[in-house]
Amino acid sequence: MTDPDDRNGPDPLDRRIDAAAGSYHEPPAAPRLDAVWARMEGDVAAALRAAPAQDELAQRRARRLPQWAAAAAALAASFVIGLVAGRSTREPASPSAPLAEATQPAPPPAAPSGTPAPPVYQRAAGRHFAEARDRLATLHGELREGRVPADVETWSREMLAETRILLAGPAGADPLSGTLLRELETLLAEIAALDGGAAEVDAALTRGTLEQTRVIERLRSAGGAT
Amino acid sequence: MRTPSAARLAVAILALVAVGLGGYALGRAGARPGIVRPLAAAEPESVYVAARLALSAGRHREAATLFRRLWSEHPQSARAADAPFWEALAAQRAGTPEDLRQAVEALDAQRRRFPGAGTREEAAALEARIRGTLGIAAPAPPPDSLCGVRNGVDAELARLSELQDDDPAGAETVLRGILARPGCAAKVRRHAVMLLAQRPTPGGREALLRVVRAEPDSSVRAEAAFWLGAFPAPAVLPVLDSVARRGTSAEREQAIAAVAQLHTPESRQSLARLLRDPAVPLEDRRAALQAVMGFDPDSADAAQLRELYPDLHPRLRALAIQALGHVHDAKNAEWLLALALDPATPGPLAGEALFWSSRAGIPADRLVALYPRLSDRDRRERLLHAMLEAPSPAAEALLRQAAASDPDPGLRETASIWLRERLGKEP
Repeated sequence: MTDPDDRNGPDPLDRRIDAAAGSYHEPPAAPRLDAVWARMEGDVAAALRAAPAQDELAQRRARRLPQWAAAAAALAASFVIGLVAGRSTREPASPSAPLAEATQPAPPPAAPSGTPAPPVYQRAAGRHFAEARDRLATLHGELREGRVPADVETWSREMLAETRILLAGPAGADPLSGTLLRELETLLAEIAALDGGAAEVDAALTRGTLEQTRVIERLRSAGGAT
Repeated sequence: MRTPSAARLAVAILALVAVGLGGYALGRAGARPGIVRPLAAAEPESVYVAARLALSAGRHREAATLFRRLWSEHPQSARAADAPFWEALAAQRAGTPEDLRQAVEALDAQRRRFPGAGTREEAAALEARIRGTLGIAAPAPPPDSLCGVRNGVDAELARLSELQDDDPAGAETVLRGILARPGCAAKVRRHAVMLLAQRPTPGGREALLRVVRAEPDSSVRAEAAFWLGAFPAPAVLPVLDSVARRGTSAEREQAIAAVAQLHTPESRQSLARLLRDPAVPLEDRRAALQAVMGFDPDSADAAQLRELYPDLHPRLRALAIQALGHVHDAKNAEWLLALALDPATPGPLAGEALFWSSRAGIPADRLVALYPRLSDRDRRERLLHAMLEAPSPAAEALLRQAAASDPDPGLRETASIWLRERLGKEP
């Protein structure tokens, strides 16, 4: 069965939002997944290097890296390295491959559907996107510095609750804002799970999601447009 | 004989190699939607990382399957307790009824097998949302259950949100009950305001009007003022008009936005009165100006703003010109050009009007012909800027000519900059 949300091809919404953003300034090219993984590899390697002797770095971090997390980071680094190596040596599926192995043809990208929301709901979504963009941009900066802000759980839960309220109303049925709200819901749920004791792996994964989905740029376009 | 540290090192190396090989196998096989490769030998942490990567790459079903393996095959691992929540999150995004049922099943399993999981509260809210989508929402909670300070409020609010489809009257009764209880936390009351506005009813409107008049918390009053814009009724405008003049800064801002959302002749007049009133703070008049133009201004909005222009505070006129430039309309474009050429218009504003007249639809050839007749620098400089985007060959010719021979060295440099940028943009 086809998953309408799976990103097997460029979403028309993405193209439209990108085009709108491009009219102001050219957005950076979307990072390739391998590149994101390579960066994560660097992150987890950095986590490995964050030994107790590195007091200066440890003091800068809001949360210390537990030993088990360092071990997990090492395992994750190993996995990611293996994954990237495997992908780089992967052979294309042959026409004679077993049915279960055959690549499913990519479905045509689904056009956003739904009823455009009345202006007040579009404006509310725009206001919400603008706040989310600011929060996520700040979070991204913190994650790049190797920190997980202490208040992340509080604000992400609050924003998640508001996202769900908007999703249940006319903004959720809007072809433009509805799609972005659903993505934001998943992302905020991920972030809300970044609670106490979050391993560096989780922080790196969340940072990877922020960069791979280009959600901050897309929120900027959507918030500016509404 | 090996020392203990050497043994630990050997185990660590073996673990790293095993996990690396697991990743290699997955990567080499390729991760395709709906096809998950065996990961029997992989460590739980590797499965977790693979699942999170699949989730962020939008391969939701694959992610859900991997998270399921994590808690069913490695129930003792550190990641197992939260894995059902992640599975449900991924399955919910996949979105079919079958996926949603899988999500509910995972959350049921988390409740039974991992009651102390750190994600239980998020999981409860997610479950309420998924059950609502499936049409099996739980009955409305009593208002008091949302007003106490305790965990689980998000889940109860999510239940109410979903109930608005199945039992709108019941949900509204609870929401109005929350707003009538001053002991409820401001966050819960603010969310109740938002929820009431998603399904506007006369009862919801009355509840929001009461909040705006009598709510003790300013942030809740501001939220209610904003959402009154969803209730276009005669009783709403006078209340918003009053808040727009006498509320706190945040309340005034939201009330002005709400007045604009009403989009009636009376609401337009209300905004015009604010714009003309010297007693209204300049920031509020700026907000009113932005509200007049909305986010998708049309010819009627532009006509109203042109009428208001002579009464605007001088510091708002440039903003008005810029707003008018976004309305591609012949009458509007001619008005901007006339303003630009009016000798009484100060140079900087005239330059703005000239630039935005181009965006509003004045052909580049007409503006090019004007250039030699313009006497002041502001007008000439902004006209050259307008040529940057103008599609006409005459625009490029003007930039070349000005860059080569304009008597003003500053304008020669300006023309050179825009010419270089224009040429750089072309294939």
